Amino acid sequence: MNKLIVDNQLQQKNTTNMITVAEDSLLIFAQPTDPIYLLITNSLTLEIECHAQVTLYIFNPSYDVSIKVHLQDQGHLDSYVSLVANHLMHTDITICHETKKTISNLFCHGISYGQGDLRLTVNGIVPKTIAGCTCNQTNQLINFQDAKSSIEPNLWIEEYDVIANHAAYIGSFLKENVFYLQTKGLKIVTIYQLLSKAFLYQTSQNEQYQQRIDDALLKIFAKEVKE
Amino acid sequence: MLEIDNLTVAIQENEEQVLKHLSLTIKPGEVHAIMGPNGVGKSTLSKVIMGHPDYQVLEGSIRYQGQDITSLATDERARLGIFLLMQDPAVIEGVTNSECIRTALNERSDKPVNLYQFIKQMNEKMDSLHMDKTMMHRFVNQGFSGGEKKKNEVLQLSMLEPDFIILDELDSGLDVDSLKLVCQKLQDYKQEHPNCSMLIITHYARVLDLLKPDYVHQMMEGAIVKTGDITLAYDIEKTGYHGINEIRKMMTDE
Repeated sequence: MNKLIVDNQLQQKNTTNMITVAEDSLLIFAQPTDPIYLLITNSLTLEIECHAQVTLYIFNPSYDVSIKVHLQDQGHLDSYVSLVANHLMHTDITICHETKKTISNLFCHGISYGQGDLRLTVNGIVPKTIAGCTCNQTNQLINFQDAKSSIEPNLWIEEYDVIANHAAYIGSFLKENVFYLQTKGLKIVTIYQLLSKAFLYQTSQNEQYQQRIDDALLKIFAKEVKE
Repeated sequence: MLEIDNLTVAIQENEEQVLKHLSLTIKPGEVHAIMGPNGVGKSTLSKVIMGHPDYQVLEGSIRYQGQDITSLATDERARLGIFLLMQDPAVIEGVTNSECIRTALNERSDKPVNLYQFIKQMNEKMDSLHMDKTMMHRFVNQGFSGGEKKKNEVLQLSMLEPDFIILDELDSGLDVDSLKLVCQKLQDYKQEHPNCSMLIITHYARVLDLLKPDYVHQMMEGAIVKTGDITLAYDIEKTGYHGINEIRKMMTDE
């Protein structure tokens, strides 16, 4: 397993400002950093140790991925995960709060299209005695064409003094919105592309993130979506 | 321009018939208005002309510029030149107005739209509609007032330059001054495009005073039951639908 300590120095060396992960890896966030952008380019297992306040953006263009986050010390992880699937794809994310008062906020937005079958499992774990934690997760998946998807959201909270919330939604684009855009002459494929982009952009208003959504996910997606 | 022949339409979900043997011919340059009480199928007709997937055509046909469009998809009909100005336009979060219009223009052409020309044209049209320029970069209809939504539809229309316009309750949500402005813009468009036809769906004669239809039709129970000129609209406004039907019945009995 590759081991990588991620700090601002490492990020500055990286000209694309995006960390590409192609093998099983352990990433260590030892101190606060600028937002970290992570592109998954293979099926893999990712372990993350988070000791500080970090904002993490993960882009997964349809690989099976298992991500386990260990929140320790001053660990505060805001994670924005964007997924695009056109075949069977598993994404498992587990957030383990291992130190008191650690914070996790997870936002997953995914699109399943074509023959996609996106299966998302999200676990938040707060063991007994790990008090004062915040453990939030919001998951939204959109299906279109023949695609399907599922979400298994789990919060395993064994401590009373914890703030924990979860929201999960699976749906399709609103029919009235699709019809409205069609009445303007937009082809159905173009509408899917526009609405998918709008949906993935909703995850975060960060401009760099949105630029990376275009580069990492939507270009691939645009080529593959067919009528 | 548009020929609807013996059209019978049902709701996909429950097969309830909402249009019954409806026929209507609109020639190039003509302005037609449809009036009728709530629930008689006026807005349904506008959606059926656009090919809304909630409705199935059981019988009859819709021809546009000589082509049978009964089985065409909504976007194909729009690209042929039909524009529906909706009663309550959808709000589309994440898609900006300029993105929507530019994409719609790109879909109509082999070459991508020139960005400079596009912005210039948008600015001019927005000025003429007294629209705030920031609306170009706002999400489609998000946070717009009723009047702003209608102006935005007219903006889209003037950019896309359709040949056939359906106005579904244009006057709803518009104050008197905005209605006058929007109708003036539609009249200007009509003058610039003399062959453009319009189908106005409304409850009130005031919008017809501004848009001056050649024909007014009254709809009841999914069919056109009476056709006349604008005086029919005044009669309806004076006596109501019930009253005008009573008069019609008395005249038939006599």
